[in-house]
Amino acid sequence: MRAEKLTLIAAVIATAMAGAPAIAADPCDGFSWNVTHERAIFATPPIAIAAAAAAGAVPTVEVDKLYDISLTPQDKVTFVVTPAKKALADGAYAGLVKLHIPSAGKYRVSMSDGFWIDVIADGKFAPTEDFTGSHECRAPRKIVQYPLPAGNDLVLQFSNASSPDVKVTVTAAPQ
Amino acid sequence: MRSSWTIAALCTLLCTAPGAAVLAPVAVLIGSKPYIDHRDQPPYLALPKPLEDQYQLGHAVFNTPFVALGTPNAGRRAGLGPIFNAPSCDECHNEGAHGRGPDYEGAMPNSMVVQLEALPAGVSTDPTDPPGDPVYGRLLSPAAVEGFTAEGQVIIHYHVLQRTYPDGTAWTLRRPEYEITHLGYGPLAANVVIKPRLAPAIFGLGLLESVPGHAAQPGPGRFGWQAIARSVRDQTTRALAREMGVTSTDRPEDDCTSAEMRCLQQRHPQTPEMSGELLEALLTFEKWLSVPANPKALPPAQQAAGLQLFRATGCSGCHLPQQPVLLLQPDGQPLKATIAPFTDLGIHDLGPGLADHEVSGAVHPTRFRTAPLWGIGYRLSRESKPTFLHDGRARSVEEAVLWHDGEAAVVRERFAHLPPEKRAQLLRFVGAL
Repeated sequence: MRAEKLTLIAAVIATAMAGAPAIAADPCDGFSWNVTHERAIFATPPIAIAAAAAAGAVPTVEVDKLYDISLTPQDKVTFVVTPAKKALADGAYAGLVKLHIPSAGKYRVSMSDGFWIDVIADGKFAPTEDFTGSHECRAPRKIVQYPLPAGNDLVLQFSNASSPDVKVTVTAAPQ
Repeated sequence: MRSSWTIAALCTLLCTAPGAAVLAPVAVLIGSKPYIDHRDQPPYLALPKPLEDQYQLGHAVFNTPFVALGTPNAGRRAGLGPIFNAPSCDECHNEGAHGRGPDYEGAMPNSMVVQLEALPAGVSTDPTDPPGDPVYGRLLSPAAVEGFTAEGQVIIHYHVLQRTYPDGTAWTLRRPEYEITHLGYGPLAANVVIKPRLAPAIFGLGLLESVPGHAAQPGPGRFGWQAIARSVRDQTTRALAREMGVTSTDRPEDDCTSAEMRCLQQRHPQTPEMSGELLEALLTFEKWLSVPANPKALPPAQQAAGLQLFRATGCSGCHLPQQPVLLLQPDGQPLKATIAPFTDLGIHDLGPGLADHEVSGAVHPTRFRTAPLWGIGYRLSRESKPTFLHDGRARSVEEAVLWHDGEAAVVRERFAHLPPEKRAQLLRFVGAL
């Protein structure tokens, strides 16, 4: 690189510096992926369900539907596997749902807040592939992508939520 | 999984490499550990039970998303904001690692912050804590708790630079521009420097702190991209206060300024939002956290040849392979050992291409601490789109090298003039550290 040949242009464009009025920000433009599909689903009426507090009668969620999931105080929840990420759980909420996917592939779990999620397949954590988020957005706030196997139902294990009600959708990731 | 950066292997490598005669004998090399579970990072020395418990508690604090004051039953998690960049340490330093992104043009990723530094106006300022913008403070906070206004948003644009090596091989770099929008409290001051900074990895911080002062070329401090913070404690508590809005006994004030009255009114300087117990646990975690070994380390012979080339090219002038450390072991006994961070901990002028800019657009001379290279192999084994340098503009180790200028210009040119296979060999070596 020859830095002396680089034209040093003004690197900071402070649009409000000249007194221009601030434009209303889109709080959901901070994702590093195309999340048009997820945002469209978050604009649909949610299906209300109650997450389970232990393995057993765990409700099932399906792809491409928005769920309004009520959670339980975390100290009352028995997890299938201890959440992978240790954290203080004061006042936190948690719960379990099952996920049925039609075929193996990459899927995104989109959440209305920055709580922790583990996807459990055959008793083990499914590895995450990537994640993205947008600070001020709640529709959604955070998206985690997983390569998931088909076959048996998967368990989505939510923990460390700050609210007893969260919205979640699962979508197939673009190929 | 086993790293070849074991004590024996590295000793063999360094002691047999050309130029090794100038190195101190490697008595005990510490720092690196295999990460069997990347969510459960081990300490670099075995800790006795009470300290291990404190380490685990600190790890939990590191991962915990804090919530706004007044959140029902929030307990120890209360204290986020009112303005902030992220609700947890882990959100930016995910699992202790270097922040991810930015991948594309668009909104700045959560793992990045924009620091604001007001240029001194005829008065001397503390180089370890320079003043910020009079309205926005030392950090442009892109988020706020409910009922408060975020300070602004940052959009990144890139300009692609295309060049060729002397042998004709083409390369490209992307040069960032930062558009600051939606300022919530009016314009930034004209004399403010915009400092985009990606979250650095926290691996081995306690070891870097244990390098004796005379061994490094000291900046004003030792930690952060510009070695501004004096200690891990200093760096941690200023990040808690300014990037999360979580106050502590060390820093009872967050980043609200007198221009942000509602924000100021939320302050309770007599009641730190993070208790002393949790802060000490967090610092224990950071102090003892190891450096992840590369699960795909090079065979020793390739490491030795790579190190030789690394030295011959001049990279080791700043990316010093080894540093001595003097620390207290968990049992209180002193330990003299060696670490392999590949940094001199000094600060250097890397040229105008990497320098920060003032709001006016003028280049602000900027000196950066030599970034430690340990842990790069682990990153490359886990991330599909790793980025490098203080603002993540480099998309590969090669791009990071090509951005070096200023004091490092000669070394960059030496790298550029290497035959392609030697450049590849050098990059493989660095990418496997």
